[in-house]
Amino acid sequence: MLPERLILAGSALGVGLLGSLHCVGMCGPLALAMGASADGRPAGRLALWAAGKAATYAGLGLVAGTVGAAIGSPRLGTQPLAALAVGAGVLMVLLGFRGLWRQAVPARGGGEPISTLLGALLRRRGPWVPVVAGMLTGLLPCGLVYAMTAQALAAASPMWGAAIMLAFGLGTAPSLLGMGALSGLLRGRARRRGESLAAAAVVVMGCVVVWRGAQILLSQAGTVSSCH
Amino acid sequence: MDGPAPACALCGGPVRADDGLSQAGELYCCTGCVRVAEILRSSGHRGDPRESAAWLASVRAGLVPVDGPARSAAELPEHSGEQRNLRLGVEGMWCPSCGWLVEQVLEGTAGVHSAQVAFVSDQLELRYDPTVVGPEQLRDAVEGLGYRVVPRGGADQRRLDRGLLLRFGVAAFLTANVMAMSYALYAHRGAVVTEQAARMLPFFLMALAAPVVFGAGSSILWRAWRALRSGGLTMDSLIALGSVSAFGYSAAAAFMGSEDVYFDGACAVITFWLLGRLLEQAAFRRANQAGAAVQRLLPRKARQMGPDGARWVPTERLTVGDIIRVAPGERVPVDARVVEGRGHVSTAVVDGEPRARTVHPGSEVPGGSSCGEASLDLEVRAPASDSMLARIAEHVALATGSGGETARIIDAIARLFVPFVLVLAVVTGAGWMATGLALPQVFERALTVLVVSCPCALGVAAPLARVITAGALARRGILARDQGALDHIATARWAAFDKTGTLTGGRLDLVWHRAEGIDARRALPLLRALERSSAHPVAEALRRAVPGGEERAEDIEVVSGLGVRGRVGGIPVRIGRCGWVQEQAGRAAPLPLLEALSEHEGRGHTAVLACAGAEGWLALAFDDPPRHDAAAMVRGLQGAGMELAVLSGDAQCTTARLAEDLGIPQALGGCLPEDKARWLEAREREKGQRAVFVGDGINDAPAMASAVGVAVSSGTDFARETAAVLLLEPDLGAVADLVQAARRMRRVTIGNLAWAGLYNAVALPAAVLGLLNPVLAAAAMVGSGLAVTVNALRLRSAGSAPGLP
Repeated sequence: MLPERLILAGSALGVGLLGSLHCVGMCGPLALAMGASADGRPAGRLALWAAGKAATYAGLGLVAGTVGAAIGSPRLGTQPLAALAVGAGVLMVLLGFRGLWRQAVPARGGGEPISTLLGALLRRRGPWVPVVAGMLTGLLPCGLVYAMTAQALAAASPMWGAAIMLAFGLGTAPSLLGMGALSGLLRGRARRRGESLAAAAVVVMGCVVVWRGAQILLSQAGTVSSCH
Repeated sequence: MDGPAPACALCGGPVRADDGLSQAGELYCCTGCVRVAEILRSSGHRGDPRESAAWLASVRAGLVPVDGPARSAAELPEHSGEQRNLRLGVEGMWCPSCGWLVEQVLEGTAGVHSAQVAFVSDQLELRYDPTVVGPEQLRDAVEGLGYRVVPRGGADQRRLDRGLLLRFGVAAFLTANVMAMSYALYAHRGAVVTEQAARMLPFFLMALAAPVVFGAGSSILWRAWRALRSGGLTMDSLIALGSVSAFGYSAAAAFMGSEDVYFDGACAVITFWLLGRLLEQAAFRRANQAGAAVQRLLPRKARQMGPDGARWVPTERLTVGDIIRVAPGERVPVDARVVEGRGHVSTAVVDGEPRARTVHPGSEVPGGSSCGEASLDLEVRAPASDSMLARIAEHVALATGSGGETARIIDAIARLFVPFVLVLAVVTGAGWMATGLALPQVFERALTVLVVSCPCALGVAAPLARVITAGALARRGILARDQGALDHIATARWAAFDKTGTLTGGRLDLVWHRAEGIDARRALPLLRALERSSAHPVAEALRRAVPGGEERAEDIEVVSGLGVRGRVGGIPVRIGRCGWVQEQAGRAAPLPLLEALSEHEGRGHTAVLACAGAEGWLALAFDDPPRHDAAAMVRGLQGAGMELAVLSGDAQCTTARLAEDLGIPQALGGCLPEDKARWLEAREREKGQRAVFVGDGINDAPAMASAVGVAVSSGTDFARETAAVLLLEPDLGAVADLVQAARRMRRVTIGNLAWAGLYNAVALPAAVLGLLNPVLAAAAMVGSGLAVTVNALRLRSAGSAPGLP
């Protein structure tokens, strides 16, 4: 169980790395806006911001993992968790395919109060601003985050849910921190390839999750049928 | 895939034509991009987001496409461009999130340009396109959400209160019984009740609880349902979900023969919620007097003149052209024109003019003026709801309900809070379930989280403080009508004043005189007689300074800009400019007088020379002295730690002298109107110090627009238009009171928010960890809301409180 989860966390890191090329297009201006209001040390502020974002992701992972753990609690048997895994995996596969098709893993709806708060926050100063801004940024609608949350749910453990999401969050950090150096990559082919790879990775991870769930369900169906 | 797909306006990623999101005329690939674009827009200026600093920096860094995508104007619905206003009273909005829901749903309605809810005053203001949607449909849309639309001017509050009181009474009675019997049931393990009774009790409890949840609580359930169907979560959602799930779970348990029932929790939630509402509503109603204080000035009934004499009708029923009669001492109910009678009216409450105006047939009289000694017949010129005073009152009511950035931020937090609590409840349940706790306890703990965390305290913390402060100020004759004006004043470091008419009375007083060749006591009455009927400021000052005598002037001749000459008791008398008077007298005045005059001129006084008979000379100096209450105001503001400045169009020496007299450290004379505004803006830009500007004239308007303007009572209409705060009474002490009240409001608001934050920070973890039960949680929830309300009610006395610490 442990190596498998490690692999999943590792691939979440990869999804973060590749997918964040889109992330830079979207969140980058936000990071810049925050850096622009600062007096010096933009790198430190950016790091704090990325840390805040990763913290939010980890929190989401913790919540999703807890819910997964409850569904997977021994009292309910293994079927509910297996069904959940299949559902989460299918969601990931769908999100991934939509991402492959549309170049960005899609996100719809919501987020308006968050943008209100962020807008107000950007006009303030103080060392806590980048952290809080990062934490709020993590709540902005994002298809990749949805996919990773589904993954954390299927992990059925608070700790591993948090770990997977944290890995994803850390994965998005390098390209946001190295924004200036990477700006050449942000347009055209490189970015499209990165996004496609991220979407493909989401599809693959989704397949793994579905497969695990299906295995359990099938094996039980097998035991049930063998009883008769 | 490489087709000419339009690009996302933010990230430049491709957007499929059928799939893009259009916002503010731009096309985006996903909601995330829409939101980030919104943030950039709000962090910069209101205008084109593409001109904000953040956006330009992003373009330079190569993050945002430079050329910009084709604008897809075709996606925006066509409007005729015509706009109408509609204002509705909305009953049953129980928390700001209800107001938010109404705004959201209506703004999503075709043809609605904007919807703004003033939660506290129960008002909804709509701008809509009459070619697309009609008032009836808009009304239906509001009622479809479960709120009641009432005629403008407010709900029938008394009826509402009785309904609420009845619900609460019934709920409280039944809940008390349910709780008592539930304890009997819990105690069953100690064999207080028989086995038989213990099996029957859950059903009995269910019968008692059903009327509470579905009867007394029906409006909450109903509205939560409507909100859910409109895709929104409000505080009602938490209450309804908590109560109904507790009831449903308990009912199922009862039928399955279990004794693990939570009917007491289901009832307590509803009952405590109703209690909280009852208390809060009473507080709000008493507090929301900002608009009411003004509206009270307007009579509700008028004497309508018909062929068969006068009869009383409600003012709402008056139409343009009706003739009404106003008796001496009464107030004019509407904007009207005199058709019969002449006399005096005082328009002080409308435009602050302290002197009575003479009116005669044809004169326009604004609603709210009080009638002097004669009875007047007037022709109605505008419906009651459109009178100038009524419009000011409504403006105040709307403005105090929704205020500025603080309110928007709190609103955003409150809206995130409800989904957060729902998730937290689920996670709590999940967590306890994962630890292997029995299902009934798991359920109880999740329920406790739902119940304990009512964001009510959060939702009312700021608006309640603002509306109570505005109400208290209105009673004090101070109208705050701009959104967020009080917030701004509370944080202001500077107070800047106009000089003439603001710090000074705007009129001349005789401050010095010296006679040569004639006794001054003899000369002054002669001058007064000569200036008997002139409207010149000097003449007015003389009339005030010198008691009226017997003398009569003849052959009075006014030479414009120079002076007045005439004869009093046969003596030729002249008064006016130095040169002109000497020229008229045909000889020079004594040198000491002339020197003294020029010295006074140097001090900024108005110097006047007079000549009576052959040998009598009189030199006079007039000055515009500070208002009697100016020094006290300066002390009050300095005591509150504010920095003060005088900005005046008068000469630097005059301005500086007045500032010195009053103890104001900074004085800037010779200011053009824009100079004042620029000075204030420079303070804000360079040091981040906000300013309040107190003034009265047209030349103060730019300064008032650039800071928070406070218009003193004698102000011109124009100054009153741009000012955020109006002083209805000629009392400068009100400025210090205003600042103190605004600061107290801010302190209480922050205290309330801190309390709401602390409460949730303590109560939520306690609930998550299972340290509370649902009944206790419901009580705590109401207690926290009540604490906030009581704290805000401390603000009810504006200005009368002792000085600040």
